[in-house]
Amino acid sequence: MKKKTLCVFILIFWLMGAVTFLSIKIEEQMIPQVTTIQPQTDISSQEGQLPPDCLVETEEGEFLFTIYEGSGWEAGTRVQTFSGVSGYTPAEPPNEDYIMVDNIWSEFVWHSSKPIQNGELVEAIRTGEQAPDYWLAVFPNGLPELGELPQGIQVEEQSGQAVLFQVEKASHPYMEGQAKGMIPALKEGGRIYSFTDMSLFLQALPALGLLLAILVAALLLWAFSCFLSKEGKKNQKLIAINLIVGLLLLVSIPLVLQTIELPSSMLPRKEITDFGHYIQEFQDFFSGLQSFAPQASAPGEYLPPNLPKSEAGRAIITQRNNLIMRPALIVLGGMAFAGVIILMEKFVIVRRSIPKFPKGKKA
Amino acid sequence: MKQRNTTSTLFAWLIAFVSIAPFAYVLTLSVLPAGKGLTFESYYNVFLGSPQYLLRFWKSLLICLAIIGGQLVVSILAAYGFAKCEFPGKNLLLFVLMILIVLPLQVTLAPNYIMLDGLGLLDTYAALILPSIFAPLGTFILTQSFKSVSEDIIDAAKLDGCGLFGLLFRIVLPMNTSGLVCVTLLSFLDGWNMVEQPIAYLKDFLRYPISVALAYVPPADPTLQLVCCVLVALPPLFLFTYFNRELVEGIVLAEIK
Repeated sequence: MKKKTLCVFILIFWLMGAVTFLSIKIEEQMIPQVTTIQPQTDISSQEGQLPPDCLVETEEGEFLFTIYEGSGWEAGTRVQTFSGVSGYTPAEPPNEDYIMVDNIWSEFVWHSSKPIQNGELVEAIRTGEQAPDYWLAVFPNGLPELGELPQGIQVEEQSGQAVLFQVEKASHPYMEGQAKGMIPALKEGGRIYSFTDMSLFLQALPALGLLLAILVAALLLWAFSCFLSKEGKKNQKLIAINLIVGLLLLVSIPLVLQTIELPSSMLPRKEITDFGHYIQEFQDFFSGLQSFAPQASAPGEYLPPNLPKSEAGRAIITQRNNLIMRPALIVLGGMAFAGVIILMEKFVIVRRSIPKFPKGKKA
Repeated sequence: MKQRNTTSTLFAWLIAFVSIAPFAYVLTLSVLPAGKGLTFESYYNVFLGSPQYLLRFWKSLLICLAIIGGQLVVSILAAYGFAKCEFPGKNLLLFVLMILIVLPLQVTLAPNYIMLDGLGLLDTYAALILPSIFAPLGTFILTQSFKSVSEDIIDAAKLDGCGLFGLLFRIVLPMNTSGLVCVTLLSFLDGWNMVEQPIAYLKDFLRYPISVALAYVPPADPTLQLVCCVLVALPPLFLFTYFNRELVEGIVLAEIK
């Protein structure tokens, strides 16, 4: 009974340790980044003006969000819905509309790296860094008329369902709302992806595979240690070795996590383990790319020859070709690692069981 | 006789059911919240969604380990003195110790607060650890446990040249593992379940151990609180299932004496 209890709880506490490291990273990655803005006003007025793209679309409708500092379990910078909208004023020309609000002191959310909801923890940033990027807009139901594009954004490639833009100065972190705000024709329906974010996400997959490999190796070693514990006294040293390897594997988790940076725009809104979301994202993104080259047969031909020679573009194609293969190989490596240790220990047990005969005396 | 046995068995099952029912209720509702069907969403939120629950859990565990370590050192030395040494006022001191055991915790909160304030330890983890180290129950249990070691064995060890610490660590402690486990478990439980002391001595919510912070879990999602309850129940569950025999032995030994 004691051995079984110890076996079960060692696994539970190991997993809790691993999950603690993971949850620190997951929270860091899942926090949406938001740009904030203060309402513009003149000194005498009690009302302020906000750009119309401050309105954030949620499941419950469109809202303005303000920033506040939470306390207790909800400590940290958070967002809450704002109800003091005093008017929506269309002005001439139409793209200079603004929203009137009766609170001129609060910081309002302008754009977010992914959808936000009331009470959510966020990372507020004033303005992001700017760097060249490619944006892929995918509209499965047909691409709308693009109209006039703002300066610094050019169409690189276009099909019936997707369009690829070359953007001279794209803000980082990438925020889809901001991109849609810059190209108003694409505001409704469809998705706009950043090449940089997609390549960052794909590059992180091998490291995620390594995490899975660590978990699998630890589980295999744990199972074998439980088997060894049936003859605990005989196998004390082997169990101790497995415990040390298990601890080393646990310590290696934060080191692997340090190398992972997942772009917020690619992550699901609620749970990072929502695999359906990733499948949908990959399908949308690569079907958008494929629409430029419908004759392509191999994944390497997704990008037609005249498409960008950007680093992100090349990374996407390389990673796309190894989307499943590389992480799967790493997981297999983890299993092999645990397998080698188990085989070596098995060898020690077998050797120990062979009776030793005293050496004969020399003549 | 057979009927009596059946009645006791039924009664034992009834008590077991009454004891286990709340935990079973918590476990069931944590995965089957009202109107949602089977879901592990709250488990995700507590174990993966945010590190604050687990970080607080480990912090509370470290506080308990510090309390156990300190209390074992103090209790072992004091109990050996009470059980095996002769000095004036020994019985009076033991009597005072027993009075301290029956004193409600709330009585000592204010004096401890004043002392900790004087030492500048308020709003630090030391404010939780130091007073708990000197809790009298451990000394009392170990005193009763150490009394069971025969004087002849101790005299024989002394004749063989064993010093005070040799006696303690080579003779007395190995013969009283049940008492030690019992004290370890009880002091762990004291530390793990402490509520009044953190509220009185700590101001910063971030320093609250999980036993107190549990009460402040956002009430919007009651399932989250239930999952936190499961998390909090894990270490005592492990200790009780692993050490149940020693615990019973230790308590019985203290009672016999």
